[in-house]
Amino acid sequence: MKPMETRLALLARKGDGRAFAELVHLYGDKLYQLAYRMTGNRQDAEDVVQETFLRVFRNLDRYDENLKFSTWIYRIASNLCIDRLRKRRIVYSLDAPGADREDLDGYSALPADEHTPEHEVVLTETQRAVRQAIETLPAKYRAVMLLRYMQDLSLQEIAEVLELPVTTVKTRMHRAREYMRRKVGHLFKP
Amino acid sequence: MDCRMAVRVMHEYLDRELARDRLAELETHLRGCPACRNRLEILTGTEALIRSACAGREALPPADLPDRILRSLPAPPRSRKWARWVRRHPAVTAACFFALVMLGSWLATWNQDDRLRVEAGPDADRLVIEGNTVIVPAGQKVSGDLVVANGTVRVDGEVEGNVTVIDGHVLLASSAQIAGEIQEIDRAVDWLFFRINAWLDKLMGSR
Ligand SMILES: [Zn+2]
Repeated sequence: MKPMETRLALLARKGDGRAFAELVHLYGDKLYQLAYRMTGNRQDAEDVVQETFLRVFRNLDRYDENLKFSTWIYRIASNLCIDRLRKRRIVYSLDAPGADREDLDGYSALPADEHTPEHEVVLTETQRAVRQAIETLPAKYRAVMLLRYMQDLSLQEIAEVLELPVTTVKTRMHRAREYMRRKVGHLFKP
Repeated sequence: MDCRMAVRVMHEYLDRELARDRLAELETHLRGCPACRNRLEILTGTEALIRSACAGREALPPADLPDRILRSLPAPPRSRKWARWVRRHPAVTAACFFALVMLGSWLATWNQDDRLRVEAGPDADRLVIEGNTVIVPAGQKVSGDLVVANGTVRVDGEVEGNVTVIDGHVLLASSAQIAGEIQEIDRAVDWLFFRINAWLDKLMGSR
């Protein structure tokens, strides 16, 4: 017996509109959260979600049912997010020498999101600081971090989503974690 | 185990990928090394901070997003219907193939051209073009059909006719109003059928 999402995808492939609508309802919200954290911007998040479903729809014929549907859809969405960030032409690398610098000023060039208060849950100062630190992570590290801590994927699953070797995912995870330790570790008070 | 190695192993521990015997080695090192103990504590704390900051769902997608997604989907691909038809009518297919070869040169000129192309009749100057995206701005109206090739269309305003995108796709804002149909065309062959259909429609209409 195949997982429900896979069955829905196969039904959608045969032209079942309701099955596709079901997938949109199952994943719309999750993808939006991921895209919003990745891009830091509502308009981008919305566009990424729309584009992801369009791509899924158009490529249903090419969906490999041995791959988890979630892996496939997260792959499409993360690629779209990373593309969008890349297009903003802000290139920073934690690999570069001197990457230890505490201020990554260039990131203030990211379009700040207009906060709509009715949707905003009150964040603690600490949570806000951690969010901001995540936003200063370069896209490739941020993707790994969010898939791990937001979507709760294992390193193996992240590797499949991002189509990278597990060892690369591991290295990025470790660097991202060390970066976060330097930025927000002092806020942890047991 | 030295401190460098201990830090590497700590991360593997946090990845939940640490073998039992390595864990024992790490514990031995930690017992004798306050610096590494402190480091692991802060790393674990950092992880908890990240989880807590990621948990919130304060950014909710617009309520009508699923609807807009479903509306923006192209009509089911024609290719499958065609494939079935071809299997049933091999002789006619051969004749069509010949006709297609005749049209080949025309198609080739289409294929070569991957620049953004926009047809919107007299309302073309109401559109905003940003890179590869053609935007119908909010409050603006295209009174006829909108055809875009090799780009994305974002409809914030209104289109009274059909929206057709060749090798691209359509994004709808919540303010979008499209009176006609949305059609996405992927391949040159589909494009050909689109042109022939449009031509047939015109013939029928003029009768
Ligand atoms: Zn040590």
